[in-house]
Amino acid sequence: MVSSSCGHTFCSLCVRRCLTLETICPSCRAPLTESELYPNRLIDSILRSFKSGRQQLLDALTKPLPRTTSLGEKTHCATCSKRGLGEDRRSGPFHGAAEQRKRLRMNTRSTTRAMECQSSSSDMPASCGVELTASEIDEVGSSDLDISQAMVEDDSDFMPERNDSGIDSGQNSRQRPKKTLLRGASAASNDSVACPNCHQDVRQSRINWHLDRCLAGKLSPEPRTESGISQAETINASSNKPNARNISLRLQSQPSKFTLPRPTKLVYSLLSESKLRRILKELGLPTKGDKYQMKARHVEWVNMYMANADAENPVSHKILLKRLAEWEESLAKPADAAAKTQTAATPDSWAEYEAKHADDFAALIAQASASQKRASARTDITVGVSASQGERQTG
Amino acid sequence: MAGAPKRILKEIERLNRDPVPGIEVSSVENNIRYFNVIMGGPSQSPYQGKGAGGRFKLELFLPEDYPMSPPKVRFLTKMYHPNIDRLGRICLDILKDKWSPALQIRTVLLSIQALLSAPNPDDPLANDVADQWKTNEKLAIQTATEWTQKYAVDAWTAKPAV
Repeated sequence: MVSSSCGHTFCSLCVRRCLTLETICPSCRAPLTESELYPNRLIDSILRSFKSGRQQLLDALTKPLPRTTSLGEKTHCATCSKRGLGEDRRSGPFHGAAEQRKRLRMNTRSTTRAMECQSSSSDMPASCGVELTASEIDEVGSSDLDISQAMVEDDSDFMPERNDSGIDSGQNSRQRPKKTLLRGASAASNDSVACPNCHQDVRQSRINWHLDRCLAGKLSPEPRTESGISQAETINASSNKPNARNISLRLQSQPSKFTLPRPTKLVYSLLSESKLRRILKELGLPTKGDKYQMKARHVEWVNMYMANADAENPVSHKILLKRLAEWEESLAKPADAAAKTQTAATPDSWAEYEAKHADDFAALIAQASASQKRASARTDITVGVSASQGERQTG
Repeated sequence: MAGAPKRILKEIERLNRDPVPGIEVSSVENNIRYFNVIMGGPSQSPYQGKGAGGRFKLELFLPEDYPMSPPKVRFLTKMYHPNIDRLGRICLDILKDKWSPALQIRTVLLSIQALLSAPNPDDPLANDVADQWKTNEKLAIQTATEWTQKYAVDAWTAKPAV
């Protein structure tokens, strides 16, 4: 997240995309350039802690209520099994929520770590802390930091469904790994020991491995690397994760040697196609396509690169390149679709189309001429016919 | 545009969960970017209408590069308003050069509703209406009230919502 000089806060990538089009603040239209954007770490950490708490809250609120067969039958609270009256169905989830909040306060440390792990996992780039869509930013920017709302909106897979039967549905099985991940984190803190060198909590079974690396100086005690380690641990703690993912996560958490040169903004109209292609090649970007495509790619790359530099936990440039390719793919799709509809509407097929829909045309012509009769006393059918045909073709 | 459909989904979700008072937005099944809107005429305005009140139909379309470019909005109900022409096109700065990606479907519709309560004849789209509004405001407001009654109130009772 970045803050502007006029006091508004946005997702770095979104606001950079906006500033590419016009150098004004999207919220208040004050003049704004990219050099006036500052990373806002406070918002980053607020969002991160909210995200970690939200999952627990949602779990508590969406947990299936015990079904009461008759009025007045006693029910159990979902989390602490205190008894409440059956009629008072609201007491169940709300009691649970309060309990969860209490527990959340106690577990902030471990859950935050677990969320760091979640937010940097490679298979959910959209919901991770680094990227927020413009609409959420709007919420944050325009409505006085209504973060809670913005973040609840971010929950794309949140469906407040009441699963009365309690039997596994797709939703339940999908939520389970996340839960185990959180539990895994708190379990890890139980049998953990402090590293004598860096005083970091490490699981007992991992302490030797940690010490080797710690003493070899491979781990600097700065927080970023720490989170990388605890991340690997929590992943290991949850045994139901596939192995391949562990490996990819560990690769991701290690500082990558693969770095690309920092791009600078260009004046594209002053560059020839070959010059632009050479610049893209120097930056390590794909050089296919015409000048227009290369320009769009360069613009997006500059935005992505700078936004990544702003992020709390920047990803490696390899991943960034992959995202660029995905972005380009998503851009190409609608264009392809448009091209297809255009080829379908070539003059050759018009005659065919006209023959196929002759009845429709006749009906339209009749309708048009009837309305024209109504509109004015003198009727000119030929005009009506040609007008309706013209409309049909342009429309 | 990457990420854009997600924003559209979020906006739809929020519109459904937390609707704007006096404005109904319904999406069309096979096109996520096209919406039918029914807007209530603001009170204390000639568009309020009697009885059930004036209810105006609009169509709203989100172009491919939304939110970087503004949505396209048009009135389908006939209007007597200096900033709305007979094709239903709306003269509103945020739909043109003053668009900002921080605006949403919700804010755009609220702005249009505000335009109904505060017509701006100095920046006209329908010149004849604007002239009338400037020279004889009382008559213009009366005409607007009549049109509202005819097209936005009685039309609904004669032919229920499509």
